[in-house]
Amino acid sequence: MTIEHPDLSTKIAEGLILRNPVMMASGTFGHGAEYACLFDLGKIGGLVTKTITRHPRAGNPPPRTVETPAGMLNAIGLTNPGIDAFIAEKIPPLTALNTACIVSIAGTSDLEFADMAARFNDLEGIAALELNISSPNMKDGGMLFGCSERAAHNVTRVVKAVSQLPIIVKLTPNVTDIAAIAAAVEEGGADGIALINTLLGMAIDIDARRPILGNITGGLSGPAIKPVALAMVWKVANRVSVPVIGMGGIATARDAIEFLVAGASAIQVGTTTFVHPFAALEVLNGIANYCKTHQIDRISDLIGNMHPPA
Amino acid sequence: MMPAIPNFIREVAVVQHNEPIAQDIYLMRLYAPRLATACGPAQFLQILTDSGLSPFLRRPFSVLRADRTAGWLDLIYDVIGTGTARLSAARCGDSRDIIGPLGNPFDLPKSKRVLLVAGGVGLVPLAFLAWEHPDRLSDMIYLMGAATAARLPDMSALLPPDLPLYITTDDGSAGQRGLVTERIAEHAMPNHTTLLTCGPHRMMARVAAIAAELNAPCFAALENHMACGFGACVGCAVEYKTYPTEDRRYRYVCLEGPVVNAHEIVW
Repeated sequence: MTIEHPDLSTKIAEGLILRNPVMMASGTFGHGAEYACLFDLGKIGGLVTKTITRHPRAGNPPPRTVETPAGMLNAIGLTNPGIDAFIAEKIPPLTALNTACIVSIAGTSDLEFADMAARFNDLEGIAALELNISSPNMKDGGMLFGCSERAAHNVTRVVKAVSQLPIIVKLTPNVTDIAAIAAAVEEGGADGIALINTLLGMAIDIDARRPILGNITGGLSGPAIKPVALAMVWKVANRVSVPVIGMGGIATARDAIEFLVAGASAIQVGTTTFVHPFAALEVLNGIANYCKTHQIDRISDLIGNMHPPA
Repeated sequence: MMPAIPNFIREVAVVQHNEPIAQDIYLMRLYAPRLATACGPAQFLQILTDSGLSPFLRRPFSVLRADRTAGWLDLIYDVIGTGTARLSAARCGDSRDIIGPLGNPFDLPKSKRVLLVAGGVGLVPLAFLAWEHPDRLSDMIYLMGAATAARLPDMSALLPPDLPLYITTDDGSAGQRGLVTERIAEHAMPNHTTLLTCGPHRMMARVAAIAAELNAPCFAALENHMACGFGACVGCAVEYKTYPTEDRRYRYVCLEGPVVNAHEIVW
């Protein structure tokens, strides 16, 4: 006997339940509405916009991407139109989408994060904010917040104090103990924790003896980082009680299910979308089929439900 | 504002032909009726050159010619890395996963003289433009540059027969010796010339500079590394000389190219 209609709904933050655990990761899906032509976004659980900063940013000089084994490095540099233009131009089409829309923001100080977060209090249709304290491509903020327990805790606390939206904090893997950072943001009031952002990486053209990326270093993503991400998600899920959103190299439903079993309440498909634009739908279908064939009525029964080693 | 994301097609194409036509340069014919119908000159296809994770990303290719009735399209590619090496190993009957067409096409300018300035496999989109406009061939002149005769395909098989063609090689082993850009001035008609170019970056930069001296419009089909090809990764950045806001300083070859106004970008 198989389950016909498993319940895939999942809570990813206090006060935020998605229809299913498949989301589009920040920085890989524009501001969402542009890709409504690709597939019915009403089918996926939610999406996270490309990170918005206070002022418009041009981004880094090219080359900005380089392929690596089973993945890629990027040093885009958070190119974005700035919060004013984002709110004026991108919010209306975004909130018209039939999916949970989460806005990713990054600031250069606690105050800037808080000021930006407060701007979304009066806007309809935003499901949550994701604090990007983990970009390796932002020299004046980004990962600086995510590498210190105190800084990560403080920015979360300051944003929580002003925001009426659920706050998800996205962590960097470029730290000694990611679970300690996770515990610090939970204590700061985070409603959910997303991980991992990209791993700091580099590639060199040995003929020219020059770095390939215009920014010299970049962030590694794609299937190459999946085992690293999975271990970190497992560690963090065992440390905190708020929901964890897992990502890092997810390309297939099997990958996604691994993250769910490791303790992620939802997963995000990121870099794989660049190669397989419809991958998120295939991941979703694969998760549903897995639940059906494994007699799982509710996806929540799968989350964190890992047996001990044989 | 960034332009809208194209409503591209995903099609599994079947290889009908894949043979070298010059040193390290291959011609591939794919049966892909939907893409053949939809694609235009300089638009590109993102091809998964291998089904595994190596190479990880798709590779962009421009189309040489399409037969919309028979449902095939031809590509030409230079074997320069892992992706094109995998492609060169494809056999007749093999299939490849493709998304496209992506990017904007070359428009044929109305000017009396259209100089098509090609370098290496940059010949491809300019050839497609000529194939698409048989009634305007008398307005066009095709300037083809290659490194050596060995790297020069038999152009008579790739271009419409009535298209005037001038060949240059760096070493003089075929056609005239020198750089293709040195042939522009002699073929330009003052005030009536538009230049369209595709080839190595330095060559196109030189074409743009010559066009500026001639006060002639110039459009270039750029070739950049890109991860996605449809605006999501914002990796294929090209810098513009002027821009309204900081976030528009770089634009994206996949969405606002590959054809750009050569006078507007930073070369």
